Amino acid sequence: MKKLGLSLLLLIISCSQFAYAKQTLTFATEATYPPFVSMTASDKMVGFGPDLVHALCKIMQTNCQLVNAPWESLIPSLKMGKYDALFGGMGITPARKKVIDFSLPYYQNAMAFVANKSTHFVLEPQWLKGKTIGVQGGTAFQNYLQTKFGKLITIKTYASNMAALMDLKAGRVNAVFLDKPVAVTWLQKPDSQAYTTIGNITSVKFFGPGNAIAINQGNTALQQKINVAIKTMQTNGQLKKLQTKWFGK
Amino acid sequence: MFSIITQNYSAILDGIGTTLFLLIISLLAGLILSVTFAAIKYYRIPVLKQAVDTFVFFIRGTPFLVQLFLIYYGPFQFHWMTHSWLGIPFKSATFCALLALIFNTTAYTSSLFYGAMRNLPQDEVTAGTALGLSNWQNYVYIILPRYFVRILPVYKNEVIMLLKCTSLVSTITILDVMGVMRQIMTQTYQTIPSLLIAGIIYLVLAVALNAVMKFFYSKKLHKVKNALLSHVHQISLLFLHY
Amino acid sequence: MHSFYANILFATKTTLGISLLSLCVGLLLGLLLALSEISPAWLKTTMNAWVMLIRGLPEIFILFMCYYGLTLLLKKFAGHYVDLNPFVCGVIVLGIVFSAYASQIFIAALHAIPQEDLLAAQALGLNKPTIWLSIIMPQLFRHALTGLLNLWLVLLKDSSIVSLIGLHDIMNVAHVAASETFKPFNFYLFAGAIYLFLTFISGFLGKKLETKLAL
Repeated sequence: MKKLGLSLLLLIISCSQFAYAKQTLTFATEATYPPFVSMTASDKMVGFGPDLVHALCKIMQTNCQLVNAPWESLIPSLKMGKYDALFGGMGITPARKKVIDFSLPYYQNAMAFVANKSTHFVLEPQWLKGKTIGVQGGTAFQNYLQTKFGKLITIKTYASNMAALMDLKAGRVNAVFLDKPVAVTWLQKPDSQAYTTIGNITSVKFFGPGNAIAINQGNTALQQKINVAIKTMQTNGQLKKLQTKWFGK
Repeated sequence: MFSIITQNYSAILDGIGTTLFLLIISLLAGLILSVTFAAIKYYRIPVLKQAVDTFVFFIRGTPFLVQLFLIYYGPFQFHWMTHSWLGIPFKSATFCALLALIFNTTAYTSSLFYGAMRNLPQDEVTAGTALGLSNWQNYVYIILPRYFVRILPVYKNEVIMLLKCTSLVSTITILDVMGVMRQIMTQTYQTIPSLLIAGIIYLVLAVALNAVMKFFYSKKLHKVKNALLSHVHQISLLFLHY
Repeated sequence: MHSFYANILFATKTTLGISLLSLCVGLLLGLLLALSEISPAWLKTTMNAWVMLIRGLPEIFILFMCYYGLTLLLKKFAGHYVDLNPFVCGVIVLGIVFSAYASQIFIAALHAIPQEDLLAAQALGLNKPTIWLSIIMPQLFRHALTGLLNLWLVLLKDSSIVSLIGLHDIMNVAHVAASETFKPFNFYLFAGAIYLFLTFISGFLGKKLETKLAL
């Protein structure tokens, strides 16, 4: 019994990777954000985010490990030091800036609603009144809806965008509010033809100056390294190329 | 920690209300179904008995989370469900949560009840039949009160299990205690304090439920039992009279 | 499409791995907790309070506490960040929950061992470790077997909640597949079928073990 206990202890210790002498940077995301980042059926992470991170790491000459974790755990885990950085479709919002730091923005994003075409969605108080809108919890989207239309609509929060979109198909919500590129990608799925995007919302106040890599507060060394790498990608045209590849603009 | 409570007290209270609502409704519905299912098994009613066995096998063999997601997301894979009247109740997350909770508690409690029935002293059971009570009367007046009194200490655990089970419905957008605290967590990034509040609330609810059930067991149920037994006594006197 | 089914099937390895490891941790911890029955009063009271606490808290709460809280605590003690991935957290939490219930079963089993056996062993002049290993333990496990089997089934199913902190187990992979393809019915049903298969096989093997070890 003792031996079993000892070997178990060893096993657990070996399972938890100790973090000293860490040379690889861990970049975490929640991979349900195509085209930003998503998982393929063969369990591979693809999208603008992974491409960008790989390119950045090549410039920074470090090894990088990409991790897929639940959305609500990302910022707490970053603050704890579980990950070195977060990537994907994360915007530099005022609320987040209070708790974490960001790199330079690498993409200017717009937001949109997705709704069934037959509902004749219009972004006006008369239409929105009494409607239920789905949104990913703990996001700037939720803040935006709450402040702008909080009195008119019921906001339903989800663990992920995809869960919210599943409920749109089920008819539990009248519309979903999310990143426009994510919405557009979703509309390209074969069984999403009945749906459409509405609006092209940008708001620095709510969504910040764009999407960026998030780092832990005070990790200026990494912040600077990433910023330099992003600038390099901007000047040599690599960033533009990636944007065209994934967002088609 | 206190600022979280003062800023969100109405949401937290709503969460407690939702948790208690889910718990009480599923307990009551589960109780009725369990008593029925146990009787079906006890009297070996053909077809129904097999149906109950299959139901229990499937529910007890799969995780609650799978059942919950299957009920919540599953139906609307089929297009016709979105427009059919059958799909209407499933559009409510509360309905889906209740369904999953009721299924669960029924599968576990009915097995518990059935086991208790089989362990009842046979002479007490046959006495009722000898008095000319129908199976149904025998079950309601004699068997049910007897096994229920015996089972209550174990049933108490089942209630606490169900309370803990309700904390999982936050995964289907329901804002119960866990759901509200998870929402506060993602908005304020005060992870540990929010979680601790949730933990304390669940603990208080568990202790309170425990106390209520204990009270029932020590005081009320004996009265209920005696009342029921005297009722049986009167009936039997009536039968003897004729 | 088929690939998603293969992913879910493949994730069975993770579910089984985490469950089996938690079982080992849980059995060990459960035995330790059960020993409180024969330890000083203060220790017994503390252990009892601990068991009550664990049994009264939702598993998802303990899991989140471990994933977020324990990491913070470890960081404070170790002075540097110690990674607790979802798998390790899952093993810790499922193990702790299992042990809380298992300790009760062990205590009941401990009381079921006939006093004469111990007296006879003492009369034979066996030393304490030998008595524990060859007299008490085998009987303890035989008495506890039915209860432990039930707990194992609960553990196997409870392991699905670790998907909520991102462990790629059956449940998690099924969820990804469901949202990517919008075939939730198929994929959750498939996940359910795997769990059903696992619990069915466990029950079957458990019954065999029970008859083999029957007293």
